[in-house]
Amino acid sequence: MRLLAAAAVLTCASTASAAVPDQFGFGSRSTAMGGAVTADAKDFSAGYYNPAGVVEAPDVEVSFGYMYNMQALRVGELDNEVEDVHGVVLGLVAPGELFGVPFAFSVGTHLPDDGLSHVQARRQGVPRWELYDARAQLLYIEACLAVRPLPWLEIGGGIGYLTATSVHFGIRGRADLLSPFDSQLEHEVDGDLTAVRYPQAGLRLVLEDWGAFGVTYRGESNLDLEVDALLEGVVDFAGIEVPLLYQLEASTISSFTPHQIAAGISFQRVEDLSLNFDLTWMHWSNYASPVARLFARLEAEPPPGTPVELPDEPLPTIPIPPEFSDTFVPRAGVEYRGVRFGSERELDGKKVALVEIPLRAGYWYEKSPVPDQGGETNLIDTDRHTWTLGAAVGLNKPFDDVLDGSLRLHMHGLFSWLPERSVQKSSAADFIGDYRVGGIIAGGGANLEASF
Amino acid sequence: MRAAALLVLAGCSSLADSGGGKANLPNAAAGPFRAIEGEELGAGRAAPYVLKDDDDFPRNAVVIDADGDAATLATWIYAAHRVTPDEEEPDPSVPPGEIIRAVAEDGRSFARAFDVVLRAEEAWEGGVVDRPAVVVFGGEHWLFYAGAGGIGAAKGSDGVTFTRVGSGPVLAPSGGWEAAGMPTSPAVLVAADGSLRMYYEVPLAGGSAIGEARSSDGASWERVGTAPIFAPAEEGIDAGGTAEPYALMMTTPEGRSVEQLYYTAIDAMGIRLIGYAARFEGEASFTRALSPVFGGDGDLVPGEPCVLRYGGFSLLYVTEKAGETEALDYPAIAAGVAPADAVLPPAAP
Repeated sequence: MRLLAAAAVLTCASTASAAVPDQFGFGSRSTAMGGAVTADAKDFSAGYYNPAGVVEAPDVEVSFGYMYNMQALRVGELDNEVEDVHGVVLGLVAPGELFGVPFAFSVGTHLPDDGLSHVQARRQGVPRWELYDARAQLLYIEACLAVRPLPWLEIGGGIGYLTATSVHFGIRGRADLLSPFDSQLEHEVDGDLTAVRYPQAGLRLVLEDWGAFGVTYRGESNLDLEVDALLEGVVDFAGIEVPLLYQLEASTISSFTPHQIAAGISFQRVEDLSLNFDLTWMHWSNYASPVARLFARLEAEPPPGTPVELPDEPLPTIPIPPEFSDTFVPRAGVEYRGVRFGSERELDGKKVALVEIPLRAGYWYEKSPVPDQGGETNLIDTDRHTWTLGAAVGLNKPFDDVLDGSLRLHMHGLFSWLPERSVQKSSAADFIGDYRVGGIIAGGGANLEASF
Repeated sequence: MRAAALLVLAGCSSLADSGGGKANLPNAAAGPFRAIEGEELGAGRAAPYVLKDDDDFPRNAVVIDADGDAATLATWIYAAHRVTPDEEEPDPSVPPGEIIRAVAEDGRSFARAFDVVLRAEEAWEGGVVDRPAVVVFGGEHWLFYAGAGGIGAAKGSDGVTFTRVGSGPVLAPSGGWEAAGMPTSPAVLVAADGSLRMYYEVPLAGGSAIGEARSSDGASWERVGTAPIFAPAEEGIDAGGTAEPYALMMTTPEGRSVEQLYYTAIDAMGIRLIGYAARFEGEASFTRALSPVFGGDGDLVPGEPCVLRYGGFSLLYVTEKAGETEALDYPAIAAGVAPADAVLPPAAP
């Protein structure tokens, strides 16, 4: 039975996915502007959108927030119950000066609140929402440094982290099939949660009175899921002893984050208004097959004449190349900062009102990188249009004696429409057959930011 | 160490749940089929066998929707059997001489009581009526069956009482590619244009092949083409023969018509499994599925498939050995379900 269970793993593919910020945004301000902030990221989220931007922070900033995204993804008219994506978002930005050069350090994280790392394994050919199913059940951390060597030039770099899992389990000893309680078995389970890292770097040019231009590079990461198992011992069946060794090693890609290059511009010519446009190239064509690479070996020596039929060693699954296409993701965002009231006070050398209410909106479009699924694979995906809205309530120096800075509550809402996509199989004898997919994603979040 | 650091960061987290995304995934419910299990059958029945008798040996069944409504599970099964005279020992190798009908409210727990709907009486039948196929056509139930001299037809209004159509077989041996082989094991469906299509097996020296005939009235049939529509492959599970067809039409969610063909696949070593092939409307040839749809390692020698579609699943009925021991070496009717993770409605008592 164990052999069968182990063999079942052999043809499994994991659900591969990318990091949370790629799909649901990072930080309420940036998300509310459709993620079009490569030239305009100023808070901890700059660690993801453009590490150079963190040097814009005037003070130490601490953020704490939460986001929830409901996924209603369906085949035909029926919901596939793809898990919602939710978690805690934390951020810290610490600016300073080194040898007269402004610099800043930032760290941010998305922490799923229902687990640290979550991957699912399914057989090749089994339908799954390739880029949405469990993709966000991963811990994401970023840390970066930025400097402003020239008044118009900001440079930043950092590292993104994703969690990965490797598991070993072993069973050794003697199994008595007719008297299981007399069996003497040792069990060993060893799990390891490791981090994979990928580089992030950005550059930002400040165009005086006009706004800014930014470019960001995010590296590729493959997050491995590794399982190895060993069953070693003697099976005692009514006095017939059969030495047995079963060894299994399987590894697969459980999460993939493509190379990305984002370029963005932020027009800030009009007072209190930012108009942002981004274009991101995503190197999906490097997407690795999520089908497991494996090694399996079965050794057993039943005595001659024993009516024991050993199963054949399972044949390895031949991975079908996913053949994803590179995509360009356009983004647009706007922020209006003209709503303010209350008594005037001075903050960081500027005259500001007590209350500021920035208003934000954004949009982005993701063409699906997944090719037509008319063959054996069923990697479900479709295009995605996303609209965002948001606002913040900022209090500048609200409590002079307690907080000599500001408090801002950033909020955002997100709505994605995934237009229907038809899948028509080339083979009439396909066991899955034709289907049509589509859906919506709706979410929102908030983060409270305190600057000192 | 790194894991420990991460765990500190995640101190307020709980364990991940089992994960979603598995509900309502697409599936054509065409196979593979798993054998139904004990709790999926009514009381007193031994899964996966939905009809099993070691005296009369019901076998070679076809199952139809009793009320024409796929949302309900009421079904009728037509099976061949043979009543063994009291003075004889039951012998499963004796060809069946009767066709019976039994009823199930859940699609698989068939009542033990049955009606005899046809007995071998005509000379051309040679004492054999076997391998029934039933279709509702023109407001009547049409029963096609295999006799010793070909394929016969009978019709009736209530699904129980049948009157033979003509005095001879509606499909007798022919020349051409059939080489005077005896047509047998009919499967009949009503095409979109309202006509009847029959698929039948012709035993040939190189292994059985499947032919097609068409009819507008059920009584007179015209063979299609000059070659079998489905024949043994050069290698694989049906290199030794393609036999005992069962065909049905379905429309995909994208509106494409698919002609589905289940059959007994016989490999070069004589091992029998249930195979599946299909073609889109307008395609000349059938495409084989990537794998057999039922039969495991073939030890139980499955054959005579029949498939009935319901809302989200399909039931497969096959004739196979009642077990692997010598005492169980007789035919019985087993059932399977696709997709394998389908949850069947509660079984009837």
